[in-house]
Amino acid sequence: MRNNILYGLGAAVILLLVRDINLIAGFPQEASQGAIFKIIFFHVPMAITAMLCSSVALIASVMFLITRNFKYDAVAVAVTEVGLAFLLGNLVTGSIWARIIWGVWWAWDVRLTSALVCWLLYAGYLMLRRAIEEPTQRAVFAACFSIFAFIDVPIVYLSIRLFRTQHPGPVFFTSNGSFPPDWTAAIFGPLGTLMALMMLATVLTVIRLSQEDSQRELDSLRRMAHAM
Amino acid sequence: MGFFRQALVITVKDLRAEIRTKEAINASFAFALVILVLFSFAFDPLEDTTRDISGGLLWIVFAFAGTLILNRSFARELPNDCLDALIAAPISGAALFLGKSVANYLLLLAVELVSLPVFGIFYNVRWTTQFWQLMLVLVLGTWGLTLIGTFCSALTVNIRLREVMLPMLTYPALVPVLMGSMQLTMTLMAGKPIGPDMVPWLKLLAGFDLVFTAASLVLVEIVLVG
Amino acid sequence: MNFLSNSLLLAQVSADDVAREVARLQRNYEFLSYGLTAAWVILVVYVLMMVARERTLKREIANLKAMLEEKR
Repeated sequence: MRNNILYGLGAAVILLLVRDINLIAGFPQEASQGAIFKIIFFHVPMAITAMLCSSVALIASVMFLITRNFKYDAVAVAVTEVGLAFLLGNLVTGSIWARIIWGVWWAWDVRLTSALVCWLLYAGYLMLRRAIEEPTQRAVFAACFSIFAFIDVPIVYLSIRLFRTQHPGPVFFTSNGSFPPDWTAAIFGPLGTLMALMMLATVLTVIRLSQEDSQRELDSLRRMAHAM
Repeated sequence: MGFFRQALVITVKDLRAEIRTKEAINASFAFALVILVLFSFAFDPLEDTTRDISGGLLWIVFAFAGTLILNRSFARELPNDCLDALIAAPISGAALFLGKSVANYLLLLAVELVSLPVFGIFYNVRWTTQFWQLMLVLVLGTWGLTLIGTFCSALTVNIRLREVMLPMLTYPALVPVLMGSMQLTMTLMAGKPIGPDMVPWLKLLAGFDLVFTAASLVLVEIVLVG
Repeated sequence: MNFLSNSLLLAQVSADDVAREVARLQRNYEFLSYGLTAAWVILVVYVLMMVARERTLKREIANLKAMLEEKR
């Protein structure tokens, strides 16, 4: 049953993405930047999905510390890993975009740098988990570090903003509205890329979660094998 | 015993142990010296441009040297199960953590104060012109550094590969502190006082220290006691 | 009138300009395709990593179960 829902969601994601890509390909080119601007339809939703993932990781970590239910720990790992994949996608697409618009692969501006620091922090989270053997200790320490990382990211952002910025500000929802409404809908609409990517993230997280279950089963089997 | 008395006892114990053996502080200072020498090969130490970035170099030295002290902080309690004894002692985990942080803080400050003149000589930097403002930056920046470091030291204490994991966890988290301290120190090293344009950095440092002092005092109980 | 101004404008554009503009557009498209490919490649690689992990997990569980059965 659960598998069928997953397959259904996965198929829906693929259909949505095909629809969105078709739609986006039909849009006219942006005046000053040309075709490369269309990367925004995946660049921005990827960042938002990653941000959502880190928020869910925070909630799951806090819930784990309160309830000590290992389900939440599994959610935290799964969602962090998926978020890292999306953030990596965001960084790479951003870097390629920057090469055309700013002429460099990597401009050390606010969002780029804080996204990178965020990535490193959460990668540290995964490494920390891998290094701790004892399951309870691993879950507790990882949850604490996840909370730490979540607090740190806004401060990192602030500090780098003090530095200087080159990254364009948000172009959505502003009153002078340089972004056409049907383009906004292609990202944020109910059938837009953001929705598709969030669904994809959900599917991946659920798969990752079931793997975490298998991992636990494997661990207990190993213990039994040792005991014999 | 009040909370701060308990923390003080831990601090004094750690400092006494360190002063008797001097293992962490010697290693840390020697390491700082080595990095200072190595940097002189990377950048021409007598050029003006090097002096401009010297504040940044200095904090990289401090961060590297600091990890050596911080690595030892909780690991030192591992033999003979001293850590279990400390946790079982009738003090809160937060007091234990605060005491250890303060001890590390004082040790790291000592290493920094000794490294500063050496740095001034090697790189021909007049670091005394804004002495008290530099001290303020040092005090604020080092507290952020030791706080995050001590917390991560508690997280990594019984991990294989502890020495590798600690920097991996601390340095990304330290970005705001190191950035603020570097910016301020670079200005001060150039002989300029902290003007209104640099005040946000000071606020950032102080804010970071406050937020993470609160967060780690709350979380450390869970980390240590479980 | 419109036709006249257009042809005047066209007269100022050299073949070089046209070539440069075409090259710029070409590069734009090229990088757009790089970007999209990179994004999808990352996700696909991640999914493949997951599949690989799934497979090893399943295999190890099966192995262990078989071993436990044998011993019992």
